[in-house]
Parts: sequence; structure tokens; C-alpha cells
Amino acid sequence: MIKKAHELIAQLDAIFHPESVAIIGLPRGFKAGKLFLMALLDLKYAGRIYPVHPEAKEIDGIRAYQSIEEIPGTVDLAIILVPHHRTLPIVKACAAKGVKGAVLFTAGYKETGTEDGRRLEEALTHVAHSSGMRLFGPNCMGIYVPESGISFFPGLSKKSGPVGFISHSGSLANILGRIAPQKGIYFSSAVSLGNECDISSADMLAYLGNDPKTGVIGAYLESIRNGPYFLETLKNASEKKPVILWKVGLNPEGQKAATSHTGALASQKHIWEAVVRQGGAISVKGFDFLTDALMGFSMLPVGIGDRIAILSGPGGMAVAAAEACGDEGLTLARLSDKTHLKLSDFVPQTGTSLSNPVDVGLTASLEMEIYIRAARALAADPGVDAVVVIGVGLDRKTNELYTESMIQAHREFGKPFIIVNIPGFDSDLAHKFCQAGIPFFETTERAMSVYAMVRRYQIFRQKRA
Amino acid sequence: MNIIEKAASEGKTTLSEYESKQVLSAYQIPVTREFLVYNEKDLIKAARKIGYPLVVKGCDALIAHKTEKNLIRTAIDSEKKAITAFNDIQAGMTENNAAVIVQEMIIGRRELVAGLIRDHQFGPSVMFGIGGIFTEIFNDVTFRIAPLNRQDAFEMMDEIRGKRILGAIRGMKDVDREQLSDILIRIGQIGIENKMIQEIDINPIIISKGKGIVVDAMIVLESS
Repeated sequence: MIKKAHELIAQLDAIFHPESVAIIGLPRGFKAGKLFLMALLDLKYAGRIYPVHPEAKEIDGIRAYQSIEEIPGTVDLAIILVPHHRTLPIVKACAAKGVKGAVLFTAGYKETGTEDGRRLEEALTHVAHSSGMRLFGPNCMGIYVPESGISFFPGLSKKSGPVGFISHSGSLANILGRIAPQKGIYFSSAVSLGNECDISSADMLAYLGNDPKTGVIGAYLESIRNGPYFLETLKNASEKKPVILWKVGLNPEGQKAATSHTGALASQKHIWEAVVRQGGAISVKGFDFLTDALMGFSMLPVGIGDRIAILSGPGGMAVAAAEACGDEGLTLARLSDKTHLKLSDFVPQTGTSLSNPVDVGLTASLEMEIYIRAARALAADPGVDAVVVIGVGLDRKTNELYTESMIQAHREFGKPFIIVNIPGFDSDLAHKFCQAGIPFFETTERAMSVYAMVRRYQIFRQKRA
Repeated sequence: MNIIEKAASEGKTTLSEYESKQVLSAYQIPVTREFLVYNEKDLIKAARKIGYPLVVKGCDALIAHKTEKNLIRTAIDSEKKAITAFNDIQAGMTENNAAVIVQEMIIGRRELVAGLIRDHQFGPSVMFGIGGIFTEIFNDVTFRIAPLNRQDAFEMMDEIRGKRILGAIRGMKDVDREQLSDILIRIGQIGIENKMIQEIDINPIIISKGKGIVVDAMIVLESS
């Protein structure tokens, strides 16, 4: 098993860092398949690109070949865009050519529910297993590895980051890829796996778990192919880095009629919860929670504490934040006398509160200095592990000052800062926070939930270490 | 295991309470002391061995049937009552001279449930939770994929909403979590080692003097 894992990791490493890419069935005109070439050009892929087309001599100024065999040099990665009924001979030709990995974009296999589709997919699996060439898909977008300049869609970030992402949906991987930079989320690699005729989510967990460039793993999962192998790789990966899983298809419906109570009680949800617990994973539900978690895990440092200081302009949001804090098992930091004294120096006396949650009132939106000095006073307090700021200025200029000052304070005090949105705040400034490594959340509930999630994982890892 | 193979060869898809407990017992899971009897003479012998109070039950595979068909008599404290119970129960069963279980009566107010299912993706999975006749209504159960380690079993006890009943409450002793976790780990082991077993129901496990003991059980086999 260990030897097999090593082999798999070496294979995927080579596929994720290809020196040459063939795009088989690349259309001449502007059709969906063209996006794969655009994606490589967009990311300034530095290796050789070989379009393969039955007639074209060149496509978009790049010399084209009539078949994979005709390509003079070696091909590391093949992206296969031909219709499903023509795929099998091409996959075989790729294997014969010594291609290391192939992405099968086209649909029309097992997912159709037909016997033909199932058989065709099995034939692909057979080629992969007998040749050693690895297959992604069919019915998938393939791989995005910014450091290699490999991408499945134009417009994705060139910048690399700590997140390794696994998706059973190509469009979801793409959507996440597109919005990720706004949230300060960057990828080591992201893969869309489709039907998993060969490479599975468990294989990817094994790879990303071992990948030194991946610090956080996220996954959107629809079904698990080999449960015991999945659980084993999940356990191994979770011991090294957080694994955030969003699993769909956990409906109570569709349970088979059971003879026993146990059978009647065993919902898919129960079994999945068991897998998450035993695997040491973090379970999230929905796209927003997935991105929040990826952001939090990407940015929050190791060893975060549970004593939270809350700074808010709106009083209601201060109270709500304090409640969210308690709901998540975090504590409101007890501020020192010194901090109280500092705050009382500049926070107006009425309509405010100097104890945690600190409510600086409406005036602070006009006099941004109040927010800034309060945030600094809280960050300076040794009894505070993290500062949550819920603020907004009256105009663009004030918001810019707010953003820059909080980023500055975060840098100086070296404690986690968490910013919570107040509707009306400029989205580009929110982006700026994320770029500076400060997570920016839409609500305090989401902020506290992610902070607590990161802390729980850190404690779990400490216990296992 | 012989019991399982024999039942399967006879075309049975469920093991009776008595057979099910023999399987559990073979894995050192504590079960009630009991005898299977078919006539009054053996009943009296069994009752003397076990001592009073005791329980007399029709040996039906389905736990639910036993309550629905009124095939259980508890707190039997005399030979006379044991005979009446035996005759009543046998009369209520479809077979002639049907098998009746004479079993020790476990005194305890806390009832837990445990079990096993074979998940099509993850394989044998162990259940633990609040037992008794309202198990499905409370739905306070949690699962682990087998094999379980001790930590898994302990976490299960901490995960159920009603976990406080495992503590020292209302004059009852703290539940022996080590012993309970042994039971859960062994249920997982049964699932791993016996591929023919599809489901196991153990309900209730009664806590008596802090320790769990299986009072009723049923094993479902793969239908060929």
C-alpha cells in the first residue's frame, strides 16, 4: 500500500508539472473546447502545447498535428476533447505514446445510466490500469496548477497558494477558482474529477496530504467510490493538514427498507458524520461555508486562542457577535484595567460600552480614529487572543483609512484580526483585507463559526501529535 | 461461525434472540444468562438454575414482535407464575411447542441501544445510542465505521444528546465506559469477521450496577 501511494504521488506530481500538453480535438473556431487552450495561454504555460486536429495545420498560430502519434517529442499531459464514442482509441494511442496523464472532458459515460456508457468507462479504466497512464474524468474539467501554468479555464489566478481543492463538479471548481482571489484564497492545485474512472477523490487526498505546497485541503464531494480507502487517506491527510469536506447527497430519502432498528436509523448523514469524525475532517455545508472555511484556514495562524475581543460601531452587532462567540464555545476576553483606561480616554461616554464587546457608537463612523485606537488598545491587551472588528466609515475615504489602519495594526501586534462586513462597505476594500491575510466575513456568526472550527482542528492536531 | 452458517443453510435471514446472543457471547459481549426450553419440565429446571426473578419470552427473531404479540413476561417470582407465563406465551405463538427463553431478569433503569449495519460504501458500521422502546422516536444515535478503536467508542458515548444518562445520576452509578466501549469495538469486529451478517440490533443493553448487559438482540443475515 505504501509503495503504491508513493507511486501514485510521483505520477500525479509529473502530471501536475507537465513539460508538454497535447489538446486533442481542439476546435479551430470559438467553441467550448477552445477554452482549454485559452486557459493555458492565459496562465502563460511555459511548456510545449500540441493541438491535435484531423485537418488543421495550425490553430491560433500554434502548429497542429493530425494525431498524437505524429507529435515529435514526448507528451506529459493530454486533454482529450473528442466525443465519447471516439475517445477510447485516442486514450489507447496516448498510453502507447507514453503520456503520463489524460483529462477526459467529454460526458456520455456511466453518468448516463446506460449499459454502453458504463462499458465504455470500464474500458477506459482498463487502459489506465494496464498502461500506467492516469486518467481524470471522464466528464470533468481536469486540473488547475497555477505554478505550472496549467488551468482548466481562462481567468483563474496565476498566483499559487496553500489550498488544494478536489471537486466532483467542474463548474463548481471553476466558480470557486474565479471568486477565490477576492477572498484571498489561492491554490496549490485544484482538480475536477468527474466520474472518477481512474483518479479518485481518495487518490487526491493521498496526493494533497503529502504535497508540501498544500496547507489546506478542500473538497466538494458527490459520491465516494471506495469507502475504506477514502477513510484511510482522509485519516492520513487530516493528521497533517485540515481537510474541509462539503458532501452533497445526504438526504434522508432513498434509504432502503430495513429489517432492524439499526438499519432504519442508519441514515447516510449518520454514516457520513462517522467518516468525518474518524477521518478527523471538517464538515461544511454550502458554498459560502466552504469558502469561509478555506479563507479562515488559509489565513489564521497556528495556535490561536479562545479569548476574543469584539469591537463594533453598531451596538446590536456587538451583542450578536458576543452571542455568536459564546455559541461557538469561545470566550469574551476580560479586558485589563489598562485597556479600560485607554479606551475611556477617547471613546465617547454615552451610547457606548467600554467592556467587551466594546461598542464605540455611531460617532466612530465619523471619527475613524476612535475605531483605530480602540482596535490597537484591544490588540495590545495580553488577555486578548484575537480581535474581531465590525466597523464602517461614513464615506469611501474613511473606509480606506479604516482598512489601512486595521491592516497596519494586525501587522504590528501580530494577533489575528477578523473583520466583519457591515452592508455598504466597499467590496474592493474587503478584498484588500483578504490580500493582507485578514479574513473578512459577511456576518459575525460565520466569522465565529470559522474561527472556532480552526481552533478545534488545531486542538485535535495537537492531541494527535 | 457455526450458528450463522447453519441458519443460512436453513434459508433463515434472521437469527433468533437466543442464537443472536450466542454469536455476541462468542465475542465476549455480556448477555443475559438464559436457556431455551420447549416444555414445562425443562422450564422448571432452567428456572431453578437461573433463580428468581426471571423473564420468560417467546423466542421470536423480531424484537418488535415480542412486545406487539405480548410474548414477554417479566418479574416472574415463582415456579407457578413461570408455568403460567410459559403456557400463555406458547399458546400465543404460531408454532406448536415453540421455543421459549427463560432468562435472568436484569434490573436497571438505563437502556441503551447498539447495532451494526453494512454500509454499501464504507462497510460495517457500528451504532450506539439511547435504547428502549422509543429508540426510533428519540433517534439519539451515532455511528462509527468498523474497526473501532477505543477513542472512537469513547467519542460515541460523548456524542449522543442523552450522554448524561451515562454519568452518575439519581443515585445510579457512573457507567463503566471501558466495558461499554469493549462491547462497541467487538460489535465492529463481528461485522468485519462475518461477511454474511448484514445488520445487528441490540436493544436494550441494560445498565446494571454500572455495567452493560445485552437483554435482547437480533442478527440479520444476507438474503441469498
